[in-house]
Amino acid sequence: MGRSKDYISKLRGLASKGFDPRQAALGNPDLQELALREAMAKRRADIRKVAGARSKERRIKIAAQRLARDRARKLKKKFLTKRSWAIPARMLFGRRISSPILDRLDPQRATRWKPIVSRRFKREPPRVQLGSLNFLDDPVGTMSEFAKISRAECDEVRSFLDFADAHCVDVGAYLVLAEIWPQLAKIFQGGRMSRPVQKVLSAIRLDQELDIGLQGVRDHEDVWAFPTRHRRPRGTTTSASANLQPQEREKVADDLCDLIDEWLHVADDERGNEDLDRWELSPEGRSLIARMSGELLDNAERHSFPGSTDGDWSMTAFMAARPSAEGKRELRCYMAFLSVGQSMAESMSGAPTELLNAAERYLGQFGGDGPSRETLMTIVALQDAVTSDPDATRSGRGGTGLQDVLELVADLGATDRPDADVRVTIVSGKSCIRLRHPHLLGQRDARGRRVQWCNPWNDPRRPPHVKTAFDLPAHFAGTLVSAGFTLDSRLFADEATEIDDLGN
Amino acid sequence: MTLAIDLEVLTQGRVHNLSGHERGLAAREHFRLDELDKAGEAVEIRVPEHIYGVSPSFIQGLLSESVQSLGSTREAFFSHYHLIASDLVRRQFDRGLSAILTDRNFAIN
Repeated sequence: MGRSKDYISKLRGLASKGFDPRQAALGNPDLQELALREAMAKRRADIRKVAGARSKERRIKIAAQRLARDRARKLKKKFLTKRSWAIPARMLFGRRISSPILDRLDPQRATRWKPIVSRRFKREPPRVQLGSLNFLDDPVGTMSEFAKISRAECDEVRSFLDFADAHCVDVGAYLVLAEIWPQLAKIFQGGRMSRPVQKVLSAIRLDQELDIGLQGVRDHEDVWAFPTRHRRPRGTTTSASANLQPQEREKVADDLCDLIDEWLHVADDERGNEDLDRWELSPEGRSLIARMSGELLDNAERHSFPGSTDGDWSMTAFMAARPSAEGKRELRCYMAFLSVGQSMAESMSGAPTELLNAAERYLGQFGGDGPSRETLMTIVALQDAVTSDPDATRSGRGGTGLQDVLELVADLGATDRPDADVRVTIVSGKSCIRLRHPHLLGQRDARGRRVQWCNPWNDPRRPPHVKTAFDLPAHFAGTLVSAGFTLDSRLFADEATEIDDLGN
Repeated sequence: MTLAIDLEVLTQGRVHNLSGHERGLAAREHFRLDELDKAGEAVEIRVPEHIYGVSPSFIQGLLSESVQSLGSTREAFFSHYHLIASDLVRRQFDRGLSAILTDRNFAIN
C-alpha cells in the first residue's frame, strides 16, 4: 500500500494542477479506484466549502453534505460511463530522454523540460502548427519547426501536431522526425496532415516508427517507396571478420535497385505497355544507385562515431509520379541519408596536420566575413582527396566519397540537360551546403581533383555564395544528406535494349 | 596455376554490389594482396557476373596500396592485375583507379 499512498499524494498534486484524475488513472484498475476515491473526496470537500457545510444551522449543513455526496456520485457515474484519454504511468512519472539531435537543435530543452506531473493541464489541448518540413529547400525554417516540437514536448501534457505540407517535398525532414520521436514524451495525441503526406509516410512505413495512425490513407497509388532502413546501433560490431560478410548497406543498395525496378514496372503498366519489352533499370542505372547509396552509408559508418568506423545510419526514399510544369507526368525521387553523431567539420579535427594547415589557409582568407569556420571546414571536407583519416591520406586512398555521391546523383538526374532539376542539401553541425544544378558538381582542377568551392566561379579564393553555404541557427548533431531529382528517363531501358554508357 | 582472387568470397551470392572503404581493406588483407603485389606472375581479379556495382571507396581500400607499390600508373597496375569482369564493372574499377591516382597534396589553387 506504500506505493498506493505515493500515488495518492501524486494524484492530489495532479488535481491541483488541473488534471482530470481519470486521465491520471494510469490504466491500472486498483489505481483507477484510488483515483476515483480521491476525485470524489476532493469534489465533496470543494462543495462543502462553498455550500455551507460549516453552517451552524443543521438544516443547511445536512443539505450541503447531501449536495456534496450527490455531486460526487455524479462524478463517479461520469468516470465509469465516459471514456477518456488516460496518461500512461510511465509517461506521467517518466523522465526526460536525452536526444542527440533535439538537445542540440533546442539547447534549452534540458533545462526547460518539466516532468509531466509538474505541467499545467489544459482542458483543450493546444495545437502545434508546423510550417513546411523541408531540409532540402529550407533548412533554417525546418530547424525552427523542430524547435516548436521541442517546446511543446517540454511544456505540455498533451498536444496536437498539425503539418502544413500539402505534399512531401523532402523525405529527410521526416527521417529526422522518426529519429527524435522515440525520445519525445508521448504528449502528441494526433493532428492534421494532408492526405498526400500521409500516403508517403505510410508508404515508407514511418507511421509504424512514429506509432501513429494515418486515417486518410486509402492506397499508395502514385507513390513507390523504399521503407526506412537502419543499421544496427553504433559500436555493436563484435566479429573481427565482419567486413568480409555481406553488409547491410549492400543489401540496402540491392533492395533499392529492385524497388526502383518495381517502380518502373508500375510506371510501365501505367503507360499501358503490354509488350514483352518492359521498363527496368539499365545495368548502368542500377550500378549508379548502388554506388551512391554505398558511398553515403559508408561515409556515415566511418565518420559519424568519434574514434570508430562503426557508426550507424538510417535511410529512406520514395518516388512519386507528379505533374511537371508542362503538365507531363514526371517521376520525382527523394532520398535521405541520416547519421547521428559527429558533424563533418567535427570529424575533420582528426585530419592530418598538413591538411589542417592547408584548410587553415583557406579559412584565413575570409577573416570575419562570410560563414563560420565550421561551415568553411565543411566546404573543405567536400573536396576530393580530403579525408579525416590520416591512414587513408598516407596510403593515398579515401576522401572522394562526397564528390562521388554528387556525381552519381547528377547522373541519376540527367544534369547534362540544362533544365534538369537536381538538388542536394547537406546539413551537418551548424553548417548547410545547398547544391543545385548547374552548380551541383565539383569541377576538376589542374591536378584532376573535383573541387566544389560553393560559389559560381568555383574559386577557393572567393567566399562561398550565401545561398549555397551558410550557417544554421542551431547545431545538427550529425549529417543529413537529402536529395531530390527527376529520374532521367534514359536510365530506364527496355529489357531488350540496354543503353550505352552515360559518360563515365 | 594462375594466381587469382575471386570477389565472390565477399558477396557469398547474397549481395550483388560491394561497397565500403573498410570492407576493401579487410578484403585486401584476406586476399593477401601485399604478397600478390610482389608475385612474379600476373594475378587475376575475378568479379562474378552477378555483381553490378563496386563503389570507389571499396576499390580504394582494396587496391590503393597495390597501385602505389606498382608505380602509381594505371598501365603498370593492369599489367600485373588482370580484371576478369563485365564492361560495366571494368568502368567502375577505372573510376576507382582515378580516385586512387588523384593528387592528395591538398592545397588551395
